[in-house]
Amino acid sequence: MTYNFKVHRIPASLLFAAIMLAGVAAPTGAIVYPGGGSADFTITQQKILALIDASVNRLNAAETNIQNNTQISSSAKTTTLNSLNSIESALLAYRTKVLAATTIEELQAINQEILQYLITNKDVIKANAKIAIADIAQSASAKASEIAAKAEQMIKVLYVTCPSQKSALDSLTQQTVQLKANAAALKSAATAKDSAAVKSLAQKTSVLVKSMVANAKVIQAACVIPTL
Amino acid sequence: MNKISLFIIIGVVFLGVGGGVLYFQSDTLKGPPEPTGGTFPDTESSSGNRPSSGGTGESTTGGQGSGSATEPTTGSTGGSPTTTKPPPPSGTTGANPPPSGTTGSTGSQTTTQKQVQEMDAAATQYGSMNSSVQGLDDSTSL
Repeated sequence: MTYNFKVHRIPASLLFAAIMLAGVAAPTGAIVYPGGGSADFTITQQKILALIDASVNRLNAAETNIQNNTQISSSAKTTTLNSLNSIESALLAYRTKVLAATTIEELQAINQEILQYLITNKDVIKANAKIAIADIAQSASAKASEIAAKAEQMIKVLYVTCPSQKSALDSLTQQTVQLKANAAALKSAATAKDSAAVKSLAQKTSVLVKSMVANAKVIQAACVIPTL
Repeated sequence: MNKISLFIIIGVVFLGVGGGVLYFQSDTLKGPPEPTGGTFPDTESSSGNRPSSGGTGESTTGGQGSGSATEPTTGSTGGSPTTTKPPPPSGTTGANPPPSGTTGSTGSQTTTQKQVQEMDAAATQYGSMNSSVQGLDDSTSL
């Protein structure tokens, strides 16, 4: 009997069906393994274990990614890691059950539980990633506002002390207005946990901020007055 | 009245007039008395917020007020000796007075330079945040 499916890619529902097929009683004359197992039992057990391990590996990767991210607040980190760890613990408990199973019927029952659990929690990594992204985006929005405020202060002084740079200061003023708008939009996207919008706005704002700093440096250099 | 008396009278008048002239001239030559070096008004001394440019007071310390009650001895060109010393020439009161010996414009320049540096540092921090956001994957299913 050949099963041609990939544990990592196949949708859960199809996987369920496939494993159900694998759970049929061993045909008469099948090889009997020590402990009462059979070839079908062992194959099914291994496939379930592989399914669990793949999910645990994805969870671990997400946990590591969040754990190593220095921009996520400690509270968000705790929330997301606890969530991911609880799923991982449940899967490891199922793993123990699978290893302890002695009959194909037991495996079938455990397999159904696992598949249902995975279906219910299939988006846990996405959800926690969104929480982490939103958390950083809130900080990024505040930082963008801070940069805009600094730029406004500097521009105000330079309009007086360096009127020759009025044109450049006008451009920098426009950029500052845009930065403030981006900061507000970023905050809204973070609140809505709209990760796609957050990523797009964060990237655009990053480019804008770099440009502003470069322009500010040029203006500041042009306004140098020799020290008496 | 004899000649001698007349001579004496003329002499006395001459001496009186001459003495008066000399007295007047000596006052003129001396010019107005120097300021008494009176104390600053309370608002001046308490604020300690002296003009950043030093104005035209030409104080020996380069125009930097220390906030003390001591007046520059050569700073004033006017003012009646019988009145209190007028406040020092007004100048801009920049938020951040420049260090001693520098001009006001250099002070604002230093401030601007600091602001640019702060912007740069904040931009770097923002860049790290952006990288972190971009590095998080929200598309992986369990």
